Amino acid sequence: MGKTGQPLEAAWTGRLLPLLLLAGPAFFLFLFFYYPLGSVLVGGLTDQSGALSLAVIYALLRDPYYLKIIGFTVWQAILSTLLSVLLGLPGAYLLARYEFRGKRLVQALTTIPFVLPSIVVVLGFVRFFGNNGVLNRLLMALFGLEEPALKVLYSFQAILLAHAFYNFPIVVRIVSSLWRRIHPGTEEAARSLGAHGFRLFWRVTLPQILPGILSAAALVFIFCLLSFAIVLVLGGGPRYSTLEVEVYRLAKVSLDLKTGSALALVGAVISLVFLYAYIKAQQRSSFAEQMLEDYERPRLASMLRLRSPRGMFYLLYLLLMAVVILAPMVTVVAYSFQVRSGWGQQAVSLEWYRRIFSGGAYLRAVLNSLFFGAMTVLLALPMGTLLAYVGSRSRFTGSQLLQALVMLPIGISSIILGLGYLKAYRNFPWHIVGSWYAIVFAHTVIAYPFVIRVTSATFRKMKPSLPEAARSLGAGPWQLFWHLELPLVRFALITGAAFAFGISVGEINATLILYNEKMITIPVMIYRLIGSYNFIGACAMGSVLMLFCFLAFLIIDRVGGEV
Amino acid sequence: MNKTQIHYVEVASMLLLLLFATGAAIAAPAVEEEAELVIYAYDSFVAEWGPAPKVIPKFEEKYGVKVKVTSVGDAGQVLNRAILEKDNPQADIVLGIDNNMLSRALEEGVLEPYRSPNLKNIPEQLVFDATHSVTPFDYGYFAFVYDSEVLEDPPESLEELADSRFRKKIIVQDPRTSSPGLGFLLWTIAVYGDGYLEYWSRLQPNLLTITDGWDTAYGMFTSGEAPMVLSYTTSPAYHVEYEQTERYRALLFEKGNYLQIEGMGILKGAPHPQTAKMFIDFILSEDFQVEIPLTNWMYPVDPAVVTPESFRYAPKPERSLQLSAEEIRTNQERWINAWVKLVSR
Repeated sequence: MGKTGQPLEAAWTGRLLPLLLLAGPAFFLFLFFYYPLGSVLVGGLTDQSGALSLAVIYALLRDPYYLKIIGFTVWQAILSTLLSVLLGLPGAYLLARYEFRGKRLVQALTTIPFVLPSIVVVLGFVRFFGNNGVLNRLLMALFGLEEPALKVLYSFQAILLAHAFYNFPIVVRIVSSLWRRIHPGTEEAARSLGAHGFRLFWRVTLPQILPGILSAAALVFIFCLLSFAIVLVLGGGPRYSTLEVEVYRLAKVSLDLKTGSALALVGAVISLVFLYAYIKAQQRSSFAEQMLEDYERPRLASMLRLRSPRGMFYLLYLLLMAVVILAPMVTVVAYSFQVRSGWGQQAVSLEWYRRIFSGGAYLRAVLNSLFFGAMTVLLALPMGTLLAYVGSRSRFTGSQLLQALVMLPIGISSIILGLGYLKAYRNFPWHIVGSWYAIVFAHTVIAYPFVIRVTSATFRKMKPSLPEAARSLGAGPWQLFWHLELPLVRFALITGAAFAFGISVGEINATLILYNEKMITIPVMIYRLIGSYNFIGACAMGSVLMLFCFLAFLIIDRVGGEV
Repeated sequence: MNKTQIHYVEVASMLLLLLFATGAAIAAPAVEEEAELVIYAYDSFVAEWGPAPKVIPKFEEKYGVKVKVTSVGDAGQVLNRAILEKDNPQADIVLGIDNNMLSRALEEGVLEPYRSPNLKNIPEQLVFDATHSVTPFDYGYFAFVYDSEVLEDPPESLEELADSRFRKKIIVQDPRTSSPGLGFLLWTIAVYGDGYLEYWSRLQPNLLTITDGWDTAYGMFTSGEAPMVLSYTTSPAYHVEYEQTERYRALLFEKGNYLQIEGMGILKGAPHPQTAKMFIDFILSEDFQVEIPLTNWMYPVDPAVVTPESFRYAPKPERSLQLSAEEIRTNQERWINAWVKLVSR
């Protein structure tokens, strides 16, 4: 491009280009997220006649029953987050500082629970930790007991355990990706100056990894805030009721329950606050990540010796994690190979897999899930990447709040989203509900924040000196993007794609509202199978789902992407 | 890992993705034939093993019309969808309105009354809507199902269910999110009246957990988590029919079990009212009724229809309990709220 083009070009890169780039996603989000969401939440902000009023919210915040529910929801989320962080830190350390065989496999496996429908997780938990679960039957057989020895489930602890199961891998991933970039040299220096053990961690290491911990914690907190089937079933019933149960009741039973809309609104505001905190923390952490210097990592195998206390601790930790993470999933897979009849009979059979892959509705569900997953990737990936790019380059006041708003789908339950589509488009001449693209749009809305999360970290990590250097060599904005920035984020793109795919394949609540018979997906099929006494079939379908997610996440780790 | 390898994986995964997308796009939703009757139904009605794949082709063949059955979640969501689309109805028939939901459907005014001539074959006590906006097609009873290999002396009444020997041995569902859950709450009210809360506080120590839906509860029950679960009297018939086991049995209680009657109705402003009436007549005919037991796991409303052998294990109570639609409408919100306050103490 000639010299005369410079002022125009500057205007392009400065204002016009970002605005133009944003028009598409903004339009899409308005139509398929903010507007449908608003049409549900507005119920909480209006009185009976439809005029704007804070009366419903006000009444809600004065009702001791709802206050208790909100209080409990926040309380369990805080504790679950703390537990996830505590459990996740040693793992983050191991992953950051050591090399070991199967590291990628471990990372891929730990991400699976995250995209599983809650009913599969609950069944996996019950079958492993329950009164008649594998663990208890093992203990009873070993020690000749009459009664189940471990009563972990149906208590507050069970809720925390299940939430940790879901969420500590997030902590491991986010924190380790920061931790691995912090050169052990700092710690060695501190050690030579006399800092040891806890003091060393507290004064030297922790401040460096804190932004990572905070951003992971904010994210985990939001996920725990939205959890409900886990809390209800594993907690032992309405003793541990969360906000989402009431919101669910609104969505399913009474459409115009104003209190329900108001509650959903309260939930959305809490989520928004934490998303804001998350974005703040993430910016600090990616600033820290710019200090990347690579170094040799020792092999973990050399550390795992039973004689040294440290080796013993590592071993115990790995064992515990394997039990907590893998056991419920393995139990589901194992159960899927049984033939009919209850858990007692041990005959092994491939019957269900034969049925699934021999065609008919089962195979259709599998193919549809792949289709929706692929379409979601095709939409969510460019959209998330664009938003992340613009977000990482904008420095105006309020940009962080705007970014929190863009991330909002993370904090909204998908049942509200599905309901929003119904409500917003009911009188629309062109029927989007029951069409395949409505499902793709809903999945895209749910998935794109995860693409943003993955790609924006990479965009921020890019040293500003790089594009400057390219520009001084005469590269235009497109060349810059195509030849420099895009190649640099390609790992993040693949990671984002895997997440978008996994989230779409596992999504159930919005799909159940929006689908029609031809668009049945794997989770819907699981829900149906369980609804008609077919638990083995449901476990087999669940195993297929896990396999897809595992493959998707394995691709990430193959290409060396980071989460 | 070297550079060429990375490119290989990337390109391969992208190609795979595109392949899926195009492949599925070709296989999936082509333009549909114009349907001459649209039915909103709950999910399990539409499932491969549900009634729809059996009864719909019969109807289509008999009358030469094309029927489209759309699944819109569970029974509660079916009615919700109809209410949402009140001003612009997209369907002709809503299926799955039961005796506990009836008052809400009538109140919202979404249904068009139609009195089918075939109602003459149906016992009067099953015709639960006097306005004939909703026509019954099947019925069943809520019941506690127990595992006979674990429990030797099952309870014989609600009262005995609260006995301390069943501590932590029962799984029920939440009335806020599940229809059997709501049915059980109403059942305790039908038996204990205003004393239902007192009963629940005695029952509570026996509840292992309260689940959000029937599916989770029953899954936990068959996993051996607890020997008793709230379900239907027909549940054992399933295990006899498909698993050849009599292990699971349903309990009939002294004062009776709570009755659920399911029906369907024609929507006001339905695009195809005449065909819809033909369909209502059809659901009361033998062609439809005979399929109900083994696909919907309920009893057919037509007493002349012979139920399959396995239904010998689906006992019918001599006495059934029911609250009036009017009573439910005026009190439901209050009952549930009081219940939640009690159990969340």
